[in-house]
Amino acid sequence: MSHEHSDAQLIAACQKGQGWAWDALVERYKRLVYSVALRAGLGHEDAADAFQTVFAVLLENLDRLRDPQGLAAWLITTTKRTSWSVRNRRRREVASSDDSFEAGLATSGAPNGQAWDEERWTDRLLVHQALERLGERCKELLWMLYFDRAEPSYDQVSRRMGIPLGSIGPTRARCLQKMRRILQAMGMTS
Amino acid sequence: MTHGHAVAFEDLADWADERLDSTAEARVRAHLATGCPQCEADLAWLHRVLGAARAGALAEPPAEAVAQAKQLYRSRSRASRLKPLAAWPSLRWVPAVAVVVLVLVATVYLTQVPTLLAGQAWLSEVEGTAEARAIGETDWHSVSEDERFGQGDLLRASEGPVVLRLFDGTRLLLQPGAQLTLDILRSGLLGRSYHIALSQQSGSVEYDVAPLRGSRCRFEAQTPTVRVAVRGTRFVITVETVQETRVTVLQGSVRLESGEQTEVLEEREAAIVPASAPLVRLPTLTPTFTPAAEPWHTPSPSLPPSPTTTATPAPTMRVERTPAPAPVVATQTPLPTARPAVTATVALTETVVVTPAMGTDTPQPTATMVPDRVEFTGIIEAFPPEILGRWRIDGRDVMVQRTTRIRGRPAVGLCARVVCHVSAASNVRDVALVAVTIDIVEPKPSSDSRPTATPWWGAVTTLLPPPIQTMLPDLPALPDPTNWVPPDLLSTMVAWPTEHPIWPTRPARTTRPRATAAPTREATATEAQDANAVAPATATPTPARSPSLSGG
Repeated sequence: MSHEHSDAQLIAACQKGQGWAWDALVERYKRLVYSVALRAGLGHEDAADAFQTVFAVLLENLDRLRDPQGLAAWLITTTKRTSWSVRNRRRREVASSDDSFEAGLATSGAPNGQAWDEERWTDRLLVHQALERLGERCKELLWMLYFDRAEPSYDQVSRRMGIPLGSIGPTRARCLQKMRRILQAMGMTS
Repeated sequence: MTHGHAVAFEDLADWADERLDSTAEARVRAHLATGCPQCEADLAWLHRVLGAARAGALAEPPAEAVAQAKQLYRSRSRASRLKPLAAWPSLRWVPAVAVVVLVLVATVYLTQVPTLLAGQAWLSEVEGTAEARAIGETDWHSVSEDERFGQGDLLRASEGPVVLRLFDGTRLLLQPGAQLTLDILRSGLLGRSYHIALSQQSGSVEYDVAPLRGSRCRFEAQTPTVRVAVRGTRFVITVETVQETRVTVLQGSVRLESGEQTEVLEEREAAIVPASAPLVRLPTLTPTFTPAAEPWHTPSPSLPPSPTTTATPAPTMRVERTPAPAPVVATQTPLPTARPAVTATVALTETVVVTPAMGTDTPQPTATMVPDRVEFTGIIEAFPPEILGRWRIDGRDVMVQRTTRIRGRPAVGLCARVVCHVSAASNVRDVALVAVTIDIVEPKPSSDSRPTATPWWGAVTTLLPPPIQTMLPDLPALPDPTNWVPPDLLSTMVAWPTEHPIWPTRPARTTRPRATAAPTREATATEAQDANAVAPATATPTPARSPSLSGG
């Protein structure tokens, strides 16, 4: 249901007091926010705190969001700032007793130009959201081909999907074209 | 999907996945080398999306965190829904609120009642005849003590003074001939603010205004020529005519508003306010008075003893002498006619205790007669032909009564030494100084007089009848007046050659020894009448202090 509504529509519904819209927003951006927090070097516990903080801030600023279409970018920026704030607070708490914490932070989630590119984060989010909108077979196929860290072979995919090996390529092409249309509908430009 | 040529979208996906065999790869590469824009766009999109996909799946947050995030909205919605509810009181509080409102209304009403009743005035003492006229009436009717008046009523006194009290504690002493209107007697809530406005049409009224209770309280007195605003003070207003009003401040200060002119009169200052001329400040003597040893009582020397004051068995007037302090020097304010300032010597010599002939049973410390006796020496500038009445000596108005002892023959331009009361509520109309004794002196040139200057008394003495030389009492010589008498005053004195009365010559009279220490007022008045308030022309040298003043 939430896939049928844009961010602007969901925000407007939230402003009218419709709780389902807020739930949809949380569902839509929960992985993005949490992943950004983890990428910032936070542990799962701190990432969960940052997660709560970011959505609390979003809730407080729902009426002041001037560009609902840029909600993803706004969430990424807010999550990064919140995560850095949590990191700094944690560093002050721990640094005095554990000097190795500094080194750990330096290697765990230090932002680099590519990793913190908001456009890439947005692409990741959109691709995941588009994947959710695909049919089960396309979703399963593309997941195994592109998202699964195990990187299964075509034979494994063929067996799991129960489709002939020769059909994987054409099916993948059709599923990618569907995703492309979905992404275009979601606002991703070519 | 094909692009109308040999390379399909599936081939591009395999190209991006590096799954093409060498033949297909060569074919695709050759096609891409041609710069096919569609294939380039498709390939760019594939790299972007597949790169994002291969970056890894987004992490799934803990379900608890997600649930809490969703709960945030519901918590805020609940709070926002409670806010408007909290703004409206529950209906069960309505009766309590109604009771509180009723109590407040009742309290306000009940506390307002006294102020409504207080918006009145009443006569507390009537020695002569008092008449009043209500709003809309044309005939005056006699009123008696304790009679009450309201806003808009007119009141006048005749044949004796009348004391009118206002709800705020103000006390007005109306001298015979005085008439005033109670224009506004308005009291606000709880009496904390009120507005009192009176119009005085004629006569002399002493205002003993109670201190105002706040900035929202006003007391105003209006005459045909001036409006007097006060904040708790004591002053006398005398409406000479509709064209002139005299204001004398006894305590505190008042603000005079006449036309566009506004002046502030301080204590012991006086002013004449003409109708069509600027306000004229009168010369003011500001001596330092000796503190009284006894509380001063409300006097009314002209009034007969009141039967209501039997609680005070003392004589109606008692005069005591107190040790005279060293003379103090006071500064006289300059006349508006550019008269130079004159320094006068004021000797504080005696203290007067006057038993109240009119007032409350308990003597009040608010005396209407200032207990000090002022003595000064100055030039007689004017006096009435009938002797009794207002004199002008050294720029001051001095009232000469039948009780006043005058030694020597007065004449304009002569020097006189005056001992007088500073009266606050005498029956004399508007004069604050009531002469007790006036000694006419002819100043003699002092040793340090300027040889080049013509003594002013030389010109004056040529105007005097010969007997005047024999009447001069033995008084100490004054300093050379050419040093302190302004030339314009000298010229004025020379221009009045014959205005002094023909002075009766009487045989010398020896000073009578007093049998009693304190002469009564009646005795003094009889004596004054008998002697026409004038000492014998050929009086023997009298002591500096009259026996009548040395009572004790």
